[in-house]
Amino acid sequence: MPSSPSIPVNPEVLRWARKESGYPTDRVANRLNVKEERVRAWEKGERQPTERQLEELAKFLRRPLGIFFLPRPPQLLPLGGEYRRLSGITPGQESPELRIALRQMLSRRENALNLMEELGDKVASFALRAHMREPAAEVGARLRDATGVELATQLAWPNEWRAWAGWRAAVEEMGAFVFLFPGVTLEEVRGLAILRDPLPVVAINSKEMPEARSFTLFHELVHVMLAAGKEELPAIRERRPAREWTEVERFAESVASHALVPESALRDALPSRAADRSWDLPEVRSLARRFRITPLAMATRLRGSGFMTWPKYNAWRQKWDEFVGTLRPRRGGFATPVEKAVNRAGRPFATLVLEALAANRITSVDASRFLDLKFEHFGKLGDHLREGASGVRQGE
Amino acid sequence: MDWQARHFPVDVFVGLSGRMDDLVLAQRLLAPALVREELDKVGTAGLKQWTDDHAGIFVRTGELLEQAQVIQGQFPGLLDPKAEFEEADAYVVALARMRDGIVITEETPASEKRNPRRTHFIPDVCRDLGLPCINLLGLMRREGWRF
Repeated sequence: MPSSPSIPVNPEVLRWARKESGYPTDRVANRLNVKEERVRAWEKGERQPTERQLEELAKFLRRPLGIFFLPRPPQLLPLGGEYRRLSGITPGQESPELRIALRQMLSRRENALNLMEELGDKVASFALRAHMREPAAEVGARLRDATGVELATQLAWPNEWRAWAGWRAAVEEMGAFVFLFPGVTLEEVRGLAILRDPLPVVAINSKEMPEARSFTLFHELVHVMLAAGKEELPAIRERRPAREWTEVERFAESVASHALVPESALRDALPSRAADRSWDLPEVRSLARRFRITPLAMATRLRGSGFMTWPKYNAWRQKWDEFVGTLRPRRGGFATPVEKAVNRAGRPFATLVLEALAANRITSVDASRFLDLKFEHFGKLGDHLREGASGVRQGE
Repeated sequence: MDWQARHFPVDVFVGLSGRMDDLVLAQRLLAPALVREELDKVGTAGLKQWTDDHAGIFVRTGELLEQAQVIQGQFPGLLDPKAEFEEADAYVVALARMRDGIVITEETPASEKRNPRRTHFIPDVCRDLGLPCINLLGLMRREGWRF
């Protein structure tokens, strides 16, 4: 077979594209089945990739082919300037999987804004704010009120999946997008927030189990509220020392647990408990199930209201971690392509894409790409969205 | 995709497929290979089968690369550096320019959008380059097809 001719790409852009995707040269070399020295030579301009290699490179780095011919690397806002500070993650050193997830979610938000303007929809500012000086219980109550979810509704949800769908819909109604992101380990990140206004984004790792998703959703929403209150900055600009940052995280945790389990509801669920009482795992699990949250979140909640002291909490936590260590990993349920697409992007975005398509504002290729869904499923997508949240099923 | 899956489904517009096949046979219907990749990702099973059966219509990227770069250089808005996937727009225009062809697209010009995210879409580029650009219905009318 004749060898494919080499293509004169801009080596500086090639290096930029690789680094922007977070890949070291060896991973690129492995994927393209070439020696690492070859990739380095491309980046120095000493050699050029073939047409086939360039196509593979563009696919692997998730960039359009044309970018490699630009006279200089594009000037883009660093990803760390978009998301909130995350413990254990240095901006610019996110995993390639997290970087692509962030890019996808940022594009989705931008596309949503474009479509809303194209359709003449009003884009409202995110109104809810929080300040660190406020008591967490007060902010939690305000957040809970804003969701409009009655306690009776919450307690009547038949399972964690329904609870997650209910909370998600409530938060989307408040003017935030809620996305799920696949492909990232839970060890790296469980949830994150994109601190933009209007349309901030709360994003949850799709590997997270449903009862944990609800807590993470509220935790991230508190970060959005703090940013709206000018008390939190994106990761790259957030310079608080670690101890101060821990306070921010504790505040978010406490507000989230108060929003999910209001004080009065907690007291009603607890028959005369004293703070010095020891808690066993089944008791906390049973209580957690009532509110459709994780036992760990419930323990945090009990601690927050003084029903569990710090030493008792730490002892309980140790037992809990040991117990969790004995569990087999939970497997996600089956989800259809339509369910996966809607779970990833949320109903508001999916509806927006369908409206824009119906109004002929976008092509079918645009619509498929926006939702990462083959066009042959779009008929079912319409049915699924019309069915409403009642058809919630588990899966990605 | 707007042809088979959206506006003129093949089960209803049966004769249209035959007319398109005639264009292919006459080597009058061509597309950049990047379009095929695009369709592989988001297209319907029927369309995928159609492109497999008509693989000869696709022109290699390398053949169009130089002209596509000229067009992209002239209309930088065609390329979104943040995009995660291939954008075939410049290659479609390049193909028409190199082969004295007509661009067929369902994309609408910037002037028809309320809030265009860029100044040039395919019809705008064609207009500025003096290339004919029509949509599918325009193609049928131009060819004098009657159904």
